[in-house]
Amino acid sequence: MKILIIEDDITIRSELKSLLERYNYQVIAAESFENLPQTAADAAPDLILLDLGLPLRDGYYVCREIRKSSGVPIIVVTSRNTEIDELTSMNLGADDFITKPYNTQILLARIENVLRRAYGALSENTIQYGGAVLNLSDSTIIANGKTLELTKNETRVLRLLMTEQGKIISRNQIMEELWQTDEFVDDNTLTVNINRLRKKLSETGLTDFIRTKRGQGYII
Amino acid sequence: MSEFSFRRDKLFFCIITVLTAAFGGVIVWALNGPISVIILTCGLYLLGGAVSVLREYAAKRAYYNGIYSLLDSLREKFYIADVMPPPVFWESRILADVLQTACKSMNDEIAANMKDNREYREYIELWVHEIKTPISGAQLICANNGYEDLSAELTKIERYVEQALFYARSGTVEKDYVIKDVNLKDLIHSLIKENAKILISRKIKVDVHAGGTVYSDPKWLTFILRQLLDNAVKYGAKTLSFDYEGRTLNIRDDGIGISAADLPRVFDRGFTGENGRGTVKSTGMGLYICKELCRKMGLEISARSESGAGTVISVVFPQNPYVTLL
Repeated sequence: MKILIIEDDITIRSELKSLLERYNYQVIAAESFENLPQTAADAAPDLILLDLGLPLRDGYYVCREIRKSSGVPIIVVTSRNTEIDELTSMNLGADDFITKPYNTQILLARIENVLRRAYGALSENTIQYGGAVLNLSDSTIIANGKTLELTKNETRVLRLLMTEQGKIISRNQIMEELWQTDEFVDDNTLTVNINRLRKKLSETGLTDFIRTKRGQGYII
Repeated sequence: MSEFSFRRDKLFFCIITVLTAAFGGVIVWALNGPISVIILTCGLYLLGGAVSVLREYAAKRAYYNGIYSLLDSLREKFYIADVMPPPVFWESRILADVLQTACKSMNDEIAANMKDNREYREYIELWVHEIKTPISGAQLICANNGYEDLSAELTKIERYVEQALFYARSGTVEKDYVIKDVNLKDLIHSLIKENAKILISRKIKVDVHAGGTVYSDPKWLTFILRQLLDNAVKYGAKTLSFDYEGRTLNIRDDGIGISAADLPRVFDRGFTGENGRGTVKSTGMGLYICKELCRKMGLEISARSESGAGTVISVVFPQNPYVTLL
């Protein structure tokens, strides 16, 4: 999926680019603000992250201009956080509205939601590691020729661990990830979830796929 | 205008009139005028004086009483010069003139102050929006490099910045919010997700029993609930629940609670109380701003608590936004 970032602050632009790239998005960042509708058309992105406070013409204008020729999903990202700004953005055809400073987890979730709404379940949305293929669109994992159905929570846990391969992920980080689905699980529930997931994985021969780092968290 | 003060004002005129009448009587008596003429002369003098005084009293009484009752009916008293009845006698012309000049200069002063106030508020809004850009940049750097502690501190800065913004908004007379139907559950869930890090690291259990629609400005309501959540975290809650029933949202925590002595004043501006002066530092502004925002949107907010037994903050939503706002 290709995301176009229209943002005049250089730090945010480059940091956002590396963040999104880490989450397997292809990212283009607009460097000039001269003719943004044209830039957007040339880049042909699957999604645009648009800052409202741009030099030359403001984001509202850019949003309206892009909408004249394209139905590409637009997420407005702004530090102007009044209800009026949100309503105006939505009326101009934006698909979502996020206020700065944003929690990165929430930003990623919103991007994912908008993409899913616009393009349906993504056909080739898979993560691979160590002979296992996690398919995010239908919540399954395939390993050693066996396919396993996973619950929503299990998929999210695996996705986090597999995206951050080789890094220790703390229990708190995993809980934060689960909370993004409106399930405010506590420590005990997490333990149960992890144990059940491990049991499932071992059925496909993936024993010790998730390793425990005592006192620190989990790692794949 | 009281009768007594008028009588005192006219005392000199009355004495002179009586003396002149007596003097006239004496002259007629000295000229050997008959007693009837003496009485008639004195009588006419006194009558003339009395008629003139009574007429003046009636006119002034009507005029000034009219102004007083008008003044009573005005909420903003300084408009009196613009609405007072046209002057009918010479003194009232002076009064009107003085009042009009004084009120005009007062109104100019007020207008200048309001303009300053508005400009200052606009500057605060602008400043807040400006500062959010570097904060966002810094948060992204933290996310990309795993600086969790720094990110938590940045979040604190964000909260203080946001508080300044809403303080600026809460004090104005302008209506700068949008009341719309809000899905309460979604709003609370977003709030919890936004605060997932701190709630999880403090091992706080969260429960939400809130369905249905309320009428409010979602941004303002989020600010209010975020403030209450921050307080719960700050004052040692281990569980936090949001229950909505019959138009009342109860935000309940099991933190250190508020003492009975402090409870009536927690919504006062700058009030810190025992808790805020203990190990946790408080600005005394959070709940005050919440109350002001609630007042502007037509919501009711109240607190119940016992020291050591947690706190319940209740927010009551209007049944229909137009009932209280129009």
